[in-house]
Amino acid sequence: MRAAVVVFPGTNCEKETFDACNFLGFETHFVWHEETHFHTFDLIIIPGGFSYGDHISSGRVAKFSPLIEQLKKFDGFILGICNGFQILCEAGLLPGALIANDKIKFISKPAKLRFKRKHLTIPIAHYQGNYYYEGKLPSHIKTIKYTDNPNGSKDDIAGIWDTKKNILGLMPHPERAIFEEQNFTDGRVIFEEIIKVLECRQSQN
Amino acid sequence: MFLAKIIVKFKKGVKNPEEKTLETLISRLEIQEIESISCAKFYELKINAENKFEAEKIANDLAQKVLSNPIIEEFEVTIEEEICELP
Repeated sequence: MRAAVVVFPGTNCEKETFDACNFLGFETHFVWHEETHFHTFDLIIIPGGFSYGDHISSGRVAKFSPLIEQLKKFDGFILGICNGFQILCEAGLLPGALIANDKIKFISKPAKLRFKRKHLTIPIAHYQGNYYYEGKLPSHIKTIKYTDNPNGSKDDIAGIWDTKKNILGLMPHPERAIFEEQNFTDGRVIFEEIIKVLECRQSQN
Repeated sequence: MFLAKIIVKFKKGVKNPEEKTLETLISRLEIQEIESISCAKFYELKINAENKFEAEKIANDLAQKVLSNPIIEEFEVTIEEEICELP
């Protein structure tokens, strides 16, 4: 299966994400954010970093990129990590918004998560990771929650998964928890879940 | 030429962490007269437009698309009288 790691000016997690994808068996490519021919990929990842220096607000400028504007038409799996999650929310591909952490501090530490009845430890590193949405999320949006809310996120939300459109947005960095030397390997669980969805989709086609 | 002023602020019900910090500071400084505080972002635009109505539309569009996120923020646009540029 083929994965694309999208690169913006200011992206800084693309190399770890690339290595993580390769490790999990993807044929991985970097794709510049102005590219619009990406429909042959199975997985598009918008990695972490500070696209356009987080100017105005995180993800605000990136949402006008040609690739992001075309992403609505993509029928594979979309994963947004950290700044990628912020971009997906800004672009309206995922509901809600990410505002500054409640203590107005950049937080960089391993976070404890609950995902499909599993307990995971995956690092977070963000300033604007405080998830907010109005009312209730629709039932096809599954949540990944912190067990020890570090940033004030509504309902302890660390990530959301639109199971209809196959879009996952995560504040934690699964690519920083793949290899033994990274101290944590629970990030593999996230990628393995995505692979399950992609394999299921392939067998249907 | 028109001068547009745009204020972007958090919607009611969305907690702005900066306001909370300011409130804590104000109470620590014991400034009892200040009842509440809210913060916002302020933008000033010079717009070449035929009339005030058109200038307002341009400023509104920018505020909606670029300067704010409708999920958490709201904005106010005011258009000032035509600016006379001196030669």
